[in-house]
Amino acid sequence: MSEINSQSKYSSSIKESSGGIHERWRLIKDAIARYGVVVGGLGVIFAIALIFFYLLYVVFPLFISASAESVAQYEVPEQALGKTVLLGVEEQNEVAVRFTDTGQVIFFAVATGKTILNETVKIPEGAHIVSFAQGSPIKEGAVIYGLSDGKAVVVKHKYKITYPDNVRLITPSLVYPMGEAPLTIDESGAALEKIAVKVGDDASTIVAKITDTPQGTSKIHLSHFEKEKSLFADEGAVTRTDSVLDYSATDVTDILIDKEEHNLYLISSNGHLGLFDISDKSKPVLIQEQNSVEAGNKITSVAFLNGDLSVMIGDSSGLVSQWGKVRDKLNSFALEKIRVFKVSDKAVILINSEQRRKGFMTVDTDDTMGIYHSTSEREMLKEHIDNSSPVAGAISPRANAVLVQSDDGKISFWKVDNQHPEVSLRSLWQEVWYESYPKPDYIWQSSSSNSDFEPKYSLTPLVFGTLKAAFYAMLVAMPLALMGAIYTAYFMTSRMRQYVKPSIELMGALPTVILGFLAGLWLAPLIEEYLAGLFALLMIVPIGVMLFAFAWQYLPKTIQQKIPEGYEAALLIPVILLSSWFAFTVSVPLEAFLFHGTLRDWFKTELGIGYDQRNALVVGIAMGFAVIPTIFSIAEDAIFSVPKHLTVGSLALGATPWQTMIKVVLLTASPGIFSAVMIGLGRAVGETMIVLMATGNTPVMDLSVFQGLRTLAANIAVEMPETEVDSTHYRVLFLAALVLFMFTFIFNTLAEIIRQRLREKYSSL
Amino acid sequence: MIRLWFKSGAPWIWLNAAAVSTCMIMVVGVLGLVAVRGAGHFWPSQVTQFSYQEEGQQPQIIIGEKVDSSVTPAAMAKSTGHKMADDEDTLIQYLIKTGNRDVTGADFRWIEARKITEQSDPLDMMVVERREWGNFYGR
Repeated sequence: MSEINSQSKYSSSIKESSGGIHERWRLIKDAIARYGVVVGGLGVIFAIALIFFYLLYVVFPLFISASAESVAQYEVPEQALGKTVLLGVEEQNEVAVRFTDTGQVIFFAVATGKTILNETVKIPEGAHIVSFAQGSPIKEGAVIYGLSDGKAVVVKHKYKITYPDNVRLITPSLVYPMGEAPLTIDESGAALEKIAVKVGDDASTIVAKITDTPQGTSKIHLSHFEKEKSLFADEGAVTRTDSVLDYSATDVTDILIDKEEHNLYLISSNGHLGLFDISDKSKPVLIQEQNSVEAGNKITSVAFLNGDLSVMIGDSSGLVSQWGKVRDKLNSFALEKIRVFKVSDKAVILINSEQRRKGFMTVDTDDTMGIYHSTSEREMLKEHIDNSSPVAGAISPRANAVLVQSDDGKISFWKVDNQHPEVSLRSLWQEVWYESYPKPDYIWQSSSSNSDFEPKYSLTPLVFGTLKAAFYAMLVAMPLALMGAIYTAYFMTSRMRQYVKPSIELMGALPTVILGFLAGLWLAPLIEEYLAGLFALLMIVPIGVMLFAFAWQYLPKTIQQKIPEGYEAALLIPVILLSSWFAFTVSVPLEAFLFHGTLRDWFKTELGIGYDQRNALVVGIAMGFAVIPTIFSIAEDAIFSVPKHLTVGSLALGATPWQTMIKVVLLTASPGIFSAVMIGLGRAVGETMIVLMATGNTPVMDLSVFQGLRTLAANIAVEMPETEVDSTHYRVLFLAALVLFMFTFIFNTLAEIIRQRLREKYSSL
Repeated sequence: MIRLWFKSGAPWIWLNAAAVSTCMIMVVGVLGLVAVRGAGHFWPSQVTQFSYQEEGQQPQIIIGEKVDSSVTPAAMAKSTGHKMADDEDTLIQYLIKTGNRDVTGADFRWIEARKITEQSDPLDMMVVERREWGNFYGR
């Protein structure tokens, strides 16, 4: 501003001296230019700030906690019909259901608690309900009643949606997927003390704990029903397989069957956990027995996490631990404790899993309700329930509503806003132990077509890929561009320079799509085939150049004088072409001789380095190509603008041209050269099209040159068109953009600071 | 003497010059590649007729454009399952665009140079670009 002020002072003095119309016009132009520049400059800063804040605005909701508000509270509907054993809510949060211990199923309106339908499960006379279990909350939620006479009834609660008069009407109903007649599980007619069911489209499994009356010993009985598929008949026959598990079942309190009906978990309240492989229903195999809680604590609640791959175990000390089947080094499966949540200080009496995410809701005897997410290990919500202890609860299919019943006979209906539980700083940047993975790892795997998929949003492999690609690109570009700039600016004749400089800058004008296309479809297969040739090229070409240069000084003077200094580059073109040709020709027999086959196979068998066709080497060359003109152009300008008196002085004092170059010119030009490199690096980090087409886009963390990678920019380009607006995935992609933005911001700021320092230091030369 | 030469700095200047030359070769090379590959589309290419004798089969006639060729050393060719005679150093293969997908089921096929018994460029061959089934080759 001080400069502008002094300018205006100066211009006012002009006005005083002469006041013609031309003078006035000149002053007006002056003012227009001044404000134009100021507005333009501020506009640029404003636009960048706007981009930054927009990114921040989209990303911010990822990190806010969930919220819940109690919208209604009412008396438990038809309280006289028995105690609640299960609460459920349907998709639209309009109709809820209450299953009682007397076999009543009461459908009621979620908002008011008014009874809509009251159904009684058909139970044969003389028998009564002993046990109850939920099969799965998803797929119309099958539940099972175990009876005192060794029989069981399976029912589903169904909701039909119709639109009479364009108003949504939800009609609940009760159906019997396995027939209305009770299924006989135990032939002797002993009571089914504990029971579990999984109802599938073609096969269903029922597991029950039965105590033989005379001996008093308990056993676990498994019954499997499989529909025979027949091409012509609609209803195939059902084959039934029965078996008894070899397990001391006395203490078993909970039974869980996964949705594939391959794994069976038997849980005792003292913490003992048994895992059976029931793939072969006639021969269940005990895989593992494990103690899951600390001594003195008891298991108070269990549930599968969505997808049935992990079991959540809540104990009397307020801990919820996640257990999953993990493959070990010997390729056998074992149960392992994946993570633990400290939910409360008192017993966790209920765990209810979300149906589309890896989240779960807990209720404990401390009268609190909490919502957690397993992958991100976040506590999303903790709410105290007033005045009374909760006894049952349910989370809705869309995880946006919660019903809690308390022991004073009230049901409270909460609306929950929990948009993005999957992401935490930990899950973005640190190793996370995902379900079915042998150990914690950095994984980017954002989406899948099924709803029980665990999204893996680790930005670490993407940042790693970005840096790896930029590193190899700079490795190719920096020597070529800087050496080229040194030669062009200082040694080359001016006649040649005026052709060479624009031609190399022309490289920068090539659309990166073309470079990426060539790299992916032409260069990658070529390098795969002539890998040995490429390595030979790197060794033979410099040697060839040196040999030629050495021989040149012994050529007769007449030839030397015909081509004066400054034309070396032109002379070298045929030399380089010839030596490259020689390198490729000699590499074929050399490869066969030295590596007995191809170099690729040798790397694989001898060094254990795998080769991907689209790899960092290809990207390094292709992106190096894109970065060379940027670095070359700026560095060349910087070297060329070193004042002549410095170089001439140095030469006059007896330094050779090369000494002058290294000791005088390069130092003086160092700020410019440095900013050239930094701008090139910025370009390499942000480059999209080349890496998109030439890397294979595999988000792996492998330092090998022969492995692919995925960069932040390419990831955004690949996934943004497929993602749902405002979903977690969408916001994580914006976060990737923000990270990229910060990257270039930090790089450029650092570069500018260093450049200023260098300029101060060497401007006095 | 070599030390003196290195001391004069000349080799480094030459090496820098080589960088410029490499850059120029790369630029011209890429532009040339794009131009040749792109413009080549507008020129008809030579259609060649091969008499091809595969082991234990009737000799057959293959008509098409030579698109690509590959040279494989004998050891490598052996490891990929080709039968190689002792006096053969390399296996030469050509990729032929035969077209006529409606008849042969494929547009391209690899043939081995050593199994070609006769090769000619008949003047009366023609290529027709069709809306379906790719190119037609024949006379």
